Amino acid sequence: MGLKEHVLYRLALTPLMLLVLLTLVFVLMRVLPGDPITMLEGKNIPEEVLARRRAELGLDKPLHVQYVNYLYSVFVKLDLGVTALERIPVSYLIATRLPATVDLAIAASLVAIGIGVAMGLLSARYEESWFPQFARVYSSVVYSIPVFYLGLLLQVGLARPSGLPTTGRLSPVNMVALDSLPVRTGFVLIDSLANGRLDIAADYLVHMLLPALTLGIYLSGIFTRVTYLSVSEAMVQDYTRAARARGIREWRVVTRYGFRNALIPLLTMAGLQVAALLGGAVLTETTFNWEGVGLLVYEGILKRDYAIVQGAVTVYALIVALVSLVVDVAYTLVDPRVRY
Amino acid sequence: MKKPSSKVLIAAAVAIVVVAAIAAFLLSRQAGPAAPKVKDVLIIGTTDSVQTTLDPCEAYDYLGVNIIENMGEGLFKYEPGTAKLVNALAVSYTVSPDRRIWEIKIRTDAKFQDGTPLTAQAVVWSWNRTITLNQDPAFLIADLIERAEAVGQDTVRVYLKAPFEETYVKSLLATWVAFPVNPKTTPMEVVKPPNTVDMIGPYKLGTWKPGEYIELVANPNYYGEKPKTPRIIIRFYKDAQSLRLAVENGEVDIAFRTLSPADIKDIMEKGKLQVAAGPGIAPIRYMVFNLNKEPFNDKRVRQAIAYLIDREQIVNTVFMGKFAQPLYSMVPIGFLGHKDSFKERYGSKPNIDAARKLLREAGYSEANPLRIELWFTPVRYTPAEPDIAALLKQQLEASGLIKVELKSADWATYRKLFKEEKIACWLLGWYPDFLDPDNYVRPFYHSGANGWLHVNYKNPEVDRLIDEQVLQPTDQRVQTLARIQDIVADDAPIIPLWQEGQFAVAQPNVKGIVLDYSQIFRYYLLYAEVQG
Amino acid sequence: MRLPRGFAEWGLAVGTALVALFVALALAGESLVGQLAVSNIVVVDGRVYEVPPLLPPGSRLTVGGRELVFIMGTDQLGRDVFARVVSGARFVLTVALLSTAISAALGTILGLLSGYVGGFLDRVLSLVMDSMYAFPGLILAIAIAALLGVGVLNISMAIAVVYIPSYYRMVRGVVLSLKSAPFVEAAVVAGAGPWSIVTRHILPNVVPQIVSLLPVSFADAIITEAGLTFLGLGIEPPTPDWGFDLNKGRQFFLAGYWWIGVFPGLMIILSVLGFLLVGESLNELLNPRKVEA
Repeated sequence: MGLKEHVLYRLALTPLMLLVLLTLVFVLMRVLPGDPITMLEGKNIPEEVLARRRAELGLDKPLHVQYVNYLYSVFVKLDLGVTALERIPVSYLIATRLPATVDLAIAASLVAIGIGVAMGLLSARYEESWFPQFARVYSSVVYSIPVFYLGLLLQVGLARPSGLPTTGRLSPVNMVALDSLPVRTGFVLIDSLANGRLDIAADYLVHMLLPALTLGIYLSGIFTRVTYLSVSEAMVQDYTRAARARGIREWRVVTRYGFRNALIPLLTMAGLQVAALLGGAVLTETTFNWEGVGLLVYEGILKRDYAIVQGAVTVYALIVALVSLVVDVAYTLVDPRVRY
Repeated sequence: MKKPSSKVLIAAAVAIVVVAAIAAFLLSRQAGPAAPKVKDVLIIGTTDSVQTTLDPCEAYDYLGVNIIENMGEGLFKYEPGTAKLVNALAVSYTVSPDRRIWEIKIRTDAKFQDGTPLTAQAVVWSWNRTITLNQDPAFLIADLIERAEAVGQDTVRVYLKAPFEETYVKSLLATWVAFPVNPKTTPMEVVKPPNTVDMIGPYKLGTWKPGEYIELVANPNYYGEKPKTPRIIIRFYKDAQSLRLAVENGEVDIAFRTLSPADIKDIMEKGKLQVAAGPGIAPIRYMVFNLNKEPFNDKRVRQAIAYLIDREQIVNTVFMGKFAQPLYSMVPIGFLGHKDSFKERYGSKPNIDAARKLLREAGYSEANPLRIELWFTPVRYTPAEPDIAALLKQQLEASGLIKVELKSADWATYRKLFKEEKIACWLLGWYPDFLDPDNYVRPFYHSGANGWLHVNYKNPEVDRLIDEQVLQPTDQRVQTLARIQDIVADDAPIIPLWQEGQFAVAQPNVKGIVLDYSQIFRYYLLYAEVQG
Repeated sequence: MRLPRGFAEWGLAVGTALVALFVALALAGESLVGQLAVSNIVVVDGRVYEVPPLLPPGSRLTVGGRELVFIMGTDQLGRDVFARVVSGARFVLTVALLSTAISAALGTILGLLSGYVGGFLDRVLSLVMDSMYAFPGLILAIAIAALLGVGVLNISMAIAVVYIPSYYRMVRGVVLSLKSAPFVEAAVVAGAGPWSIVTRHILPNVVPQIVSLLPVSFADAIITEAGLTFLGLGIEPPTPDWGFDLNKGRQFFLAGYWWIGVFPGLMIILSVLGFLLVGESLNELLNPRKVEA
């Protein structure tokens, strides 16, 4: 099939994948002992009030009825429900928290790719020196450090002494100011710049520094390896030799000819890492109090708030499906040999 | 000159942006325009969160209730710094001779946030709303009041369900559940986030971003004294470490609930921030048994355990000796009628011989030790919970006749387990609904009220005494409470362990922090001076 | 024996040394230091002493005539950090072993089935596995760990589920490419049943791939286990465990008691690094990249 058919096929597959995931989550959450109302217990609340709350959430109906009801509300009514105790619409909650996770993922990816590509290219350029070995040790070590450990070290070693902020996305005053701005998309950088509040934008970037560094450094090892391997493989190809013979400077050979070869593997890696990013974000978000969706899901599991977990999973699955589709399409643009 | 490659350009652009951001940030931290004498916004950091809503008819968690206490007021309130109840929206009251009818005169100068004046009718309407909607804390009012009616504009006549003792009634009427709300603007259903109801208080709700922050602003229509700081922002943190970093960094002005004992001690020693301390009763911590399960149906086993517990070791190790107090009765220190019954009965140091004697009598020996599972839940109370469990295990095994297996579960699972009576020995904590010893005795020991706990303790004499004490005049009541505490110490279905103090860590220029028995953190007393 | 040459050989040497150390600690450690890791009570000549908490590394304590040295200090309950670090190896190694074994076994079986049988089964399994693969692994592990509760087997299963799709995909890929290989076709023509084809022809070709994936799997399992116990799941005090102690250490880090968390953290890094190096070096030595001058 051609590209168009392939894209349509992938898009059609997405609801199926969603169905599988939601079923998985539904089963897991319902099987976990306790339900959202259990969080209220341990106080003096009369049983009838608790029973009424459960009925309001539909928890007194048989499981298969709850399952069907939920699928209906997600796929037909496109409604993700409300949180059990606070009664906040889940879509609102996720919509306000998702930009934070996305920002963190993008920033971390930039850091990871930046460091990784730089180190990979340098390793390929100076292959005979100590640098490649150093780069390989670096990538292994960096992968071995637990993310939260790295975060803590950065917080204590870098932020505390220098006065850089250690937690959150913005200073509390700016958080309130941001929410009263007229033009809102949910993305802090866009909102602050669109409303002319450069100070809020600066505050955000400074707060993002450490979390992005933490997650980015952690992932940079992988990109280092990928870049180095593809570039060094390209370096021994005929076309590279020809370029050198034509007198093109070595550094240029590496970056223009060698790097091209790394694009596809890098793209693949980036696509694969999306899921890793979203998952690793949980630990980073916890360490830095970065209010994104990862933290939301973790708390949702502990509070047995079915709606939040199911809603977040839905959104995650959609993101991952979309990103991998975009990556695959990008392949065809980058490498005309790839056909679907 | 060769064109720089695009990669270099991108790298340069990123570097410039980052440097610019840092520069802007650092610049913005320097002195701005001439600062006012008192800061116009104070930021409070906390690891608590609002569990349900900020509607007083439904809120039932510490933070939600505390915020409501700053936005609303009831007929009575606690005088800051004491546990004394004084008039708030009430001006005076009379009690009928049979103690069943109260007539309360209310202020005529109080207004809701939109300017509507407070009337007796509004009070009655509010109480009816709470009882009708019947949410989590409604029983506090519903179990007290038979009905209420407005007599003219400024008098509320209350018919109680029973001739309850005077302080008991006032403490219930002082709870947030009884705060009057504006009948004009409040619907007959729970008000959901990010909104709340219109009440009479020093602050009103500004912006609320669930999970991130709550902003309070001064209420211009409050009849009483204006709050010292016009804006308060309460910022939520996920754990004690983030909170500590934030307060040390200046990102918040005050950190209240909950920093770890080790951190508070370290901050005290470093001396750069101020640490305010206050008496704590929320929560009190205790160990509870299910008396329907072996071996805890045997009183000797429970008493032996009571002999072995070393509260001081826990307080000294986990709470660094400063941040908690050993508790020898379920009625906490500082409350009417408190008596150290467990200390009198079992001593304050572990008595291994007495424990061994009881255990042998119960049929246990070195060859046949008592095997028990001790359950705890790691996150709900203190992060040191696993350490506490480990210490308790050590203390019990010091007898040589007990083998303890430690088990834990997250709160939802934990709750299910003891509700379904699958576990027999577990650790819990208790936050009071209202400040009266009845709230520390009835829910645990009265067989008609302790069903939620699944302790299955039923002692008819204790039931009778509890029913009596709440109806007796004060000095008689103290005597009865003393008897109750002695009996339940001997029966030991529940073993009180410790009560934790309250601690606030703040920047040195913050003043007005009052931490008292009411457990209410009054934002309207806080202010911070800045160099003018 | 000559000195290692090149990164791959050095990596293998260092990695193997680290892994060997780790395994030795896991096997022998607990019997050497045992009690000190779970309790601060020391019994000397029948008399009971309590070790004080939060002693810095290098502290010495004279107890009943014997001198005790705490080279890594004591934790917040007075337990010897060195003992905990050593004993933690057993738990972590067991979990890594179990979870890798489970995910490899299940993933391989499912991959073989799916690849060879094909058809509807393959489609359904692929869909399920792709969905699981797309799901953030840590969150899946958290949910399962919360469901199963504590214990070595439970936490191993929680981690195993996360990595099954990786093995599945790899095995299935190999099976698909081999299915149309000449020697397999020849076997089919010769009348061999599917079972013997799979076990005699396909499996041997899959095994090297699986083996090459194993060390990295181990490393991932250790990291995931640390993440789970860091979040408070899967483990019961006073069981020594590195991720759990790292979390504890974090709570005390800012107060200046750095040793409680730093040493367990170092162990995590070193053990993961060891497996990683072994895996990568083996890969490189067995499948060298031809680099022309």
